[in-house]
Amino acid sequence: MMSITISSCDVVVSPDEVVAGAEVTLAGKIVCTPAQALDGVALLIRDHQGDEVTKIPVDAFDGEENATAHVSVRAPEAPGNYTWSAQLVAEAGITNEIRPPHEAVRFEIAVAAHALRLMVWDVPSAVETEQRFTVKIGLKCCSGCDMSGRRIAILDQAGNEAGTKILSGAFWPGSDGLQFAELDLSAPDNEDLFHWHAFAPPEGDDDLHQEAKAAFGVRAVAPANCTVRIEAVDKDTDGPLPNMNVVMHPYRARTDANGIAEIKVAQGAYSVFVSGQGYYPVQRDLDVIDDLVSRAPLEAEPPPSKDW
Amino acid sequence: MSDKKKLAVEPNGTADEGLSRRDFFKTGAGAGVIAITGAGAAEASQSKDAAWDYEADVIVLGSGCTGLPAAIRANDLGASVLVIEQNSEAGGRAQHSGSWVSLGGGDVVQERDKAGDVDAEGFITVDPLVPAEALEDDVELLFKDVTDWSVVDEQGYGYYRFNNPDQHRGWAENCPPTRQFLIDNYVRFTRINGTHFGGGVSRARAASCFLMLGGVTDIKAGTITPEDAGVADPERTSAFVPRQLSISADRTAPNAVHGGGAMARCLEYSAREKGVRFMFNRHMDEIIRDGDGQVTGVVASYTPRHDPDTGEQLQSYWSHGNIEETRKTIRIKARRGVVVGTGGHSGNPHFRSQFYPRMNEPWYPTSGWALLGGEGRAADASGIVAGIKVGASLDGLHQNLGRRTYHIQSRLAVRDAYTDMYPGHPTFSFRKAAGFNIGGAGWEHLVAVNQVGKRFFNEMSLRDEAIEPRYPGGIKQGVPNKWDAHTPYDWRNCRSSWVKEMYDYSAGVDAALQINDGSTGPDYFAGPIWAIFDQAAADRADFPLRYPYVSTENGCFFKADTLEELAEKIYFGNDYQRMRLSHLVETMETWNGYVDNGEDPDFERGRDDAPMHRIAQPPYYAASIMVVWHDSYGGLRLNRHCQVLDMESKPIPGLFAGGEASGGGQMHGLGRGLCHGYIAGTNVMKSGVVGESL
Repeated sequence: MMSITISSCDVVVSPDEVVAGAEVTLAGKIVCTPAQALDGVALLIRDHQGDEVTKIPVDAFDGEENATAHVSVRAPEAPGNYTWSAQLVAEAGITNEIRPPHEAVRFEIAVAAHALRLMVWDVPSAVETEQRFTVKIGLKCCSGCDMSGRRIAILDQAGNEAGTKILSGAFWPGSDGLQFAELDLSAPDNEDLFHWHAFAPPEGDDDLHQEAKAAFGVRAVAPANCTVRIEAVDKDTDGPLPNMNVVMHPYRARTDANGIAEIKVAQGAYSVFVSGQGYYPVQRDLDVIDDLVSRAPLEAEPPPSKDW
Repeated sequence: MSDKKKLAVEPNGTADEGLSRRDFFKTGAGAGVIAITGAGAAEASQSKDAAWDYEADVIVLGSGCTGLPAAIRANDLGASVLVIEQNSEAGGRAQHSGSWVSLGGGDVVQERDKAGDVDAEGFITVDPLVPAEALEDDVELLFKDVTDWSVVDEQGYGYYRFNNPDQHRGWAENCPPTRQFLIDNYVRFTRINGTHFGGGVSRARAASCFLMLGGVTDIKAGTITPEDAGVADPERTSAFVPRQLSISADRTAPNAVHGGGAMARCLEYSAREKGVRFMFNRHMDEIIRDGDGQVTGVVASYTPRHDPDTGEQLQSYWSHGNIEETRKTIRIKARRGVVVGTGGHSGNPHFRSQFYPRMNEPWYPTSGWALLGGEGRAADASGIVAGIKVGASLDGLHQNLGRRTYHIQSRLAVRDAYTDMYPGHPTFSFRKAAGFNIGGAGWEHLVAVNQVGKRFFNEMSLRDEAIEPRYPGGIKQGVPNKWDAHTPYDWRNCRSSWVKEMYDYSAGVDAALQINDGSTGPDYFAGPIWAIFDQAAADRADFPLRYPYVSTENGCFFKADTLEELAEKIYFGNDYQRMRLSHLVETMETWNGYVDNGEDPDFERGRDDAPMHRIAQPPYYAASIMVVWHDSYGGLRLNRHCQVLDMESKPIPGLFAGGEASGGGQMHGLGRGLCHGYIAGTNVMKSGVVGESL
């Protein structure tokens, strides 16, 4: 009977940090003397409680090192650092003696909490001071946990709670498990761009999920006292251009079927853009001191040439 | 026993007859069938021939716009011709071209339009599109135009200055006969409506190739069905043409269509009808030059293509004249000469990075990537490299740095972004999506990030519409005077004040290719770049995020509920995304902050180009933005006869080349390759033997 001395036995864990309850890949590397294929040998994996998790067979030998298959197992369900063990075991019928009797090697598995992704959208680009406005918020767990019942708070620039909502379980249309809600909020009482946050705070005994934050801007503006009427037309045909974007920062609108957008703005100096698919954008500066009408002739982009 | 094979002709063929001219007529033009005899019957009678598996008078490498006319012309002059094509189909990149053929020098189409005549078949119903004076051309003026040192382009580059004079003298002299030759081989030309890049400033010289819509596809009759033309359904092409033909009402007639398929298929048909033989799925690996210096043949390997989804081997649309050969490597003898029409080097990152080191990024393909065969075979510089190995010199290498070689496309979500292609063509499955073209305006709805998720340039300036100095001249073409006031060789054309006035170059493509936070030595790959946008953008801009415009199977389009998910999908879904886009979330937060503030301090978007929009409404999307190196310049050095020159500027006996495999000409497109093919096909039968000269 031939004796084999194990020089080293390592377990490679991938990824370095795994989300709680997710799959983690384990692979073993074994060096022995004399160097030879450890046919019929496997690594017995035990978890932090000593329970058997899996057995990974050695299946490759490159002349110096034996390697096991890559096996995916489920990580512990709670965040933390866990010490697991791996022990070389020989299958029945293998006559080689592994010397010294191989002791289990220990390896670490770092388990992270589930990341929560919080989003805010449909924030009006401009809100008159102290006026009500709505935003949409969405929350998703990276592991797909149900977020219904989770509370979302909106924090204003000073960190005070400006609104709150409990997720009902409604999914955002077109998404793959994104739960959303609409919040009704009140704009600040002075004009400026304010930096607000949506916040999904930690909840009670739920240590499985991290808290989440998402920043968004709230632009509070003076009450509108002028109406700017933009008439978008094709420069060559003079025909109306519907669905054009009209941006007079921070105000935004789209032209209607008649190529017209009416925007209520506060008096001031603006840079106005009119743009849309198939046309070169136009820009002009407007000083708004009263209601006004501005015609915006847009030049069509030539269609992509197929001559080349 | 030798494994040598030779062609024989049924029913009387014998193994040693070889691939003769007579055989071609009997088998190609007639109804005969070529048979390939078994190895045992193919024993060579002469030991010196023992190494050859096939032989013909002329071997043409490639079946694109150079190879097809070269093969037909040599065949017309009495040669037996075998075309070797690495792809499974004939036509090369000419298939997906726009078919705009710029020749001139007083060619018959110029003369026709000048006289206000229509084509011989009477298909054309529209009147001439340019003034008769703009068609008053001759070889001298054409030659002067294409060697006009005084013209510079919008980046201050001497556009025609570095063109090889002798090569272009031969080209100019052969433009009129090439036009007639093409017409004689079923190519039908629309009205002339301009001049292609590199075709000169002084006259109008380019016309497209058309067919008439009809109930049957009949090359001889000049008709094509709407289905074959790809105009029956806006979301389908056909096996006949990889790219939908264009309705040609503006330049031909209301029921005419033009495009690359209307040229390439006609030439292919004529070649097959005349008896030219084709060996597809066969890549030329080596040109053989004997001890006397004569090029005597090639070594070629088997390169079949298989549908990536079904595994089925791709076949050519027509099979008449095909030689089916599946051995891994064979040697083919050329009794008179070899014509290199293998295309350029724009699909070879190793070769092209000699001219622009940052183009070593293999993710960026050549145009027609799916059509031509993908990695390592489309425009792979094989003809140039093989020529170098037998002593050829090169020409015009720096001309790659002129315009129209590599650029950022506005077609997103497909790697083969230079052109569209829809389901119906066998190679669609290699690209899996047509992609969607956002034009110039669509860029305002997205941000572009590099391989680590950082912005790198003003997105509104990423796409640059190049301006080339050509007819009709004037400011729009970057030329101080219009065509009728343009004086070739006049120093005033490059007066420094003029150059300063019209200089206009956006370095967006260069920024996209530069070293970034994810680039590591020694290659410093730039990695992919991505258009990031949200559902609101897709709705605003009406992006068609559906099949066949996008596919989640081609590594070029991703959708996710969160930016973090999007970054992970890109990382795992694109083979060339070598790292995670670790900055993406922060980049988008920063961008939305810029939108709220109304200014972009990083790249100055939103000042005078286009409005900015938040990117916040899920789901989020990523679509590939592609740098495509379309055509390449720089290749084998030619003389006027399209003979390949060695390092002492002497012709290499038996070796001819043209099109993108050759260098020394800042001329884009078909006119160069077609005329080179005609010249090479003419001269390969006149010379090609050591000691002979043209």
